[in-house]
Amino acid sequence: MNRALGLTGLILALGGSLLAISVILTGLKRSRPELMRMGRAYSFVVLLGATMAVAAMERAFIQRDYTLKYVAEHGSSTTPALFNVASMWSALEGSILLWGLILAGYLVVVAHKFRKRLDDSLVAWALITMFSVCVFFFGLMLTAANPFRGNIPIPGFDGPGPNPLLQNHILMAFHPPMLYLGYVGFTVPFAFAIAALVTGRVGEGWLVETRRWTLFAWGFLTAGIILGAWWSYEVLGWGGYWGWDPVENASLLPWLTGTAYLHSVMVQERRGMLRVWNLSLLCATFSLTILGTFLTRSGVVASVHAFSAGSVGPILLGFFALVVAVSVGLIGLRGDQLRSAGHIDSPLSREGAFLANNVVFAALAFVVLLGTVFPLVIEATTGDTLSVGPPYFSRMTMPLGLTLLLLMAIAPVLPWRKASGELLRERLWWPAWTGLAAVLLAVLLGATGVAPLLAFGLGGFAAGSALRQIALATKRLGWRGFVGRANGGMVVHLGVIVIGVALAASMSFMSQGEFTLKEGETARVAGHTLQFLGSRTVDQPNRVELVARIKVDGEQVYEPKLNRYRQSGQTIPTPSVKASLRDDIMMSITTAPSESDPSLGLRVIVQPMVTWLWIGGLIMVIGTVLSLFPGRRRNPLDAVSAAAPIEQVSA
Amino acid sequence: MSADTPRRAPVIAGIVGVAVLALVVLFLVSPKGGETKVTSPLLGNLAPELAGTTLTGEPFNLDSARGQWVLVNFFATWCPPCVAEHPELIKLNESTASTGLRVVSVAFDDSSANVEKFFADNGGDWPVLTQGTGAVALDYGVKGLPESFLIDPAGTVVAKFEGGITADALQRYVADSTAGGS
Amino acid sequence: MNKRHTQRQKWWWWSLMGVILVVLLASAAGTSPTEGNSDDRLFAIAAQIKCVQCVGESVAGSAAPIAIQFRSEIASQMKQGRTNDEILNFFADRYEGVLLTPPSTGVGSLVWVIPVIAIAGAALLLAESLRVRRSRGPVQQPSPEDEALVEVALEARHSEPSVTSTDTTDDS
Repeated sequence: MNRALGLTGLILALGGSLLAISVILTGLKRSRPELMRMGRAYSFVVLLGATMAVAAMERAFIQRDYTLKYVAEHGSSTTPALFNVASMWSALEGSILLWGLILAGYLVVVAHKFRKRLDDSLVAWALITMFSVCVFFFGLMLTAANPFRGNIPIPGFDGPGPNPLLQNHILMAFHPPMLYLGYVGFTVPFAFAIAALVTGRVGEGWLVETRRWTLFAWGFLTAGIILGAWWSYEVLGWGGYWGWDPVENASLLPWLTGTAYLHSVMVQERRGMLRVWNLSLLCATFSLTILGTFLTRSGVVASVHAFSAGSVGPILLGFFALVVAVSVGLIGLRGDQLRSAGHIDSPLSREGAFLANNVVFAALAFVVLLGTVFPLVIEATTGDTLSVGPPYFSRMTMPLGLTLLLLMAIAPVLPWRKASGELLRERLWWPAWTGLAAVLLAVLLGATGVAPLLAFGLGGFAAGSALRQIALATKRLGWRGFVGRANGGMVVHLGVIVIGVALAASMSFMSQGEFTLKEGETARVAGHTLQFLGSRTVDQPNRVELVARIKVDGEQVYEPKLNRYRQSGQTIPTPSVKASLRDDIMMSITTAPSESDPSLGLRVIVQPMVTWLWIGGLIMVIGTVLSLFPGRRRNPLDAVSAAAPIEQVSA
Repeated sequence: MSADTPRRAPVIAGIVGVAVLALVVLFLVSPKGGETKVTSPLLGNLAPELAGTTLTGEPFNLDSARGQWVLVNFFATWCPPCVAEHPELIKLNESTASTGLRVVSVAFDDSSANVEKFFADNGGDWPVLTQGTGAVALDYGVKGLPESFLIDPAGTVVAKFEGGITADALQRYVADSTAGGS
Repeated sequence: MNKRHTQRQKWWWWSLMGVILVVLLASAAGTSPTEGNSDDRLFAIAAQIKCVQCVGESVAGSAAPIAIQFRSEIASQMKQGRTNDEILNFFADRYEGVLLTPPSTGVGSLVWVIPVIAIAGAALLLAESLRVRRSRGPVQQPSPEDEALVEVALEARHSEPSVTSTDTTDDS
């Protein structure tokens, strides 16, 4: 029943997409607008199909319908309700199903938003692109990654449930959907970029349509990445929130190019420049989401997040190649039409700073991509095994990160076109003192090391600049000084700065220790005392938990656990964290007390400012929401063409 | 930043295209996660020192086994695949007469009491080392359990097996090597 | 511009800031421990070694038995007074590709070199294209009067927060 319903949904979505493409294409070819307008109706068909499929899958999980292979492999009667719902995206096929649903959702919103302009060739081509992406994903689900494969369960069979790591934290229910809302959201600007290239209307019109979509997707991707880091921190128990794992890198890559785009697009809006570059960034961002999915799903790279898979890998790789080929081909063909209207007068200007920002973001993306694929390159060419791990990435990205902080300090106060030294000295006066004060404060608090101190100083400098802009804007506009893209952007900057400072502090001033404690004994780390009060074992249906009771600083009692899963024999610690604004104490059991040795192996990690990472993430999300708010309402359907009229408006 | 020099666009697009194509080819030829090949810097080299007192209290030294094939097996009683492998080791050990192969087990991160009970319950009467084995495991470059190293009569490591071995496969391996060598 | 603002243009204020910064940085420069038996040193070394039994974790992070064995080996070598490099090489000799830092010699060093070359190249290209643009110059040179007018207009706009002026035009 669930299987039939799900398969029907998938076929409906695939069929709807295929029909939509042919109808819109016919409409374009024969100039029949009434055909092109049908795209909206088809988008609803696709959404209906996707919803049916997802509903069928969730229903199967709730009913523990083991006639579905996917449910038999990833469901279990012992999984709690919330994680049972989240089980859908705990493995390959289901996560692609979630992808399909979100894609269909975006498709409907786009078709609805542009319902009055469906006969415009730009919108028509954008819809064709989106429907094509739908064809790929729903086609994939009906072939290599079919979530509705059948299964004949043995009577009394119960599934194993999702991977233990994926079912012990609430964040697992939110991190993947957020990430996918971001990933999939980049399809919209990509579709418009392709449409602009196909129609040759590479002026600024397409860009205005897609700007907010990009910001929307970017906000979700940001939230998804930060939730993922939080999950790693809470679950993996080694004090790490970012391990430069290939799959983490894969989610970071589109974020980097997307962030670069959000900045450079302003240059195009204001000055009509960087058209090819902006189109390339959008195409790159979308391609990188596909590449990221490929890396996660193909098993090419070993990763905690990777799902094993059969033929899905090559198919995704083929799609990635196709996307790149189409983008690169179109950009190459249309190159001559992309003549830009202006040029940059001075490097010391807002546009110059954006350009520098783009170089840094591109460099970051390059380093991350290179580090991720380099071991594969070496293995393929020389047969040697080597690892490129966190030490490499931190060393390479640190100078780039510091450069970004510096740019964040200077760029917001720069005027367009050209700035003078006097202007900079005037505007950077207070921000510079703020930065200096930050370094002084850090030194007084006992911080050492040039890199972290520079990070604090530049962070203070950048925060000073952002606060200056916000202060000026609110003085002039009241509460409206917080909304709109530029002002909201400053709030996002503040969030980034908070994260940057928290990263520098937590990585540089981590202290840790491994202790063997008998009952009643106390360990000391970084000024904190931890007393081992005792332990007990708890029998759970699928595992045995060893629970240790640790009294921290003579106050509260925390209970880290060590789980031994019955079926696999795997031992997975569940750490316990005492979080505060100042520092986090993470406790994780390494060895359980036994009859022969009654002492507890305890790993303790004290890291300052970790909580600020999540606060910074929240500020970034709030800033993104503020940026999405229009500063002043304008009809979104107004035609906006090249640079000249914009200049008139602002003059 | 080819925006202002349009004639550069096709060239840059071409370069990017080729680079991406290379990347795609690379991914296609890369081995998938599951099929990693077993390598060890030890292969072809003299086996690292292995000596100590066995579970039954007799001294053991790998060097004294020169002239014989030896299978050094790393295991632990808490490791399910090792438990599954055990019958194969018994089978292998029983057939030593025909192949002249000795088995020696090295318990990793396990107590003597556990290992003793394990052998009492499951059988097996070859030398087992349990004390100070952590450093030995590092010398042999042990990654996971079970893991076995085949050492030829000259004391050279000739093969490494990750995961459970089967008696048949190992005997065939030894037989082939002896036939090829003589 | 009033007096308070002219202060900001004085070079000595900015030099003073620079001097304070340098003094602060120099006074607090620190390095990670390279000798002694502290747990901090132990984990700093362990963080550079891949856990061979796990995926995506370092020896410092993992709770796997082999990682615990690695850590106790590091601790015992630290007690023997070995240097960080000696300890890392001990593991590199036994396990292929176990060091998380790619080598600085051989083919592996390309991963360090390529980004530096690429970034430097991109920066040079960018600077070059900016220079060419500027040297070509505008077809018509503005007269001093034009420039004065622009200066006044710009000054009027930039004395206000520039963010708001972008805001009104940029938001749809």
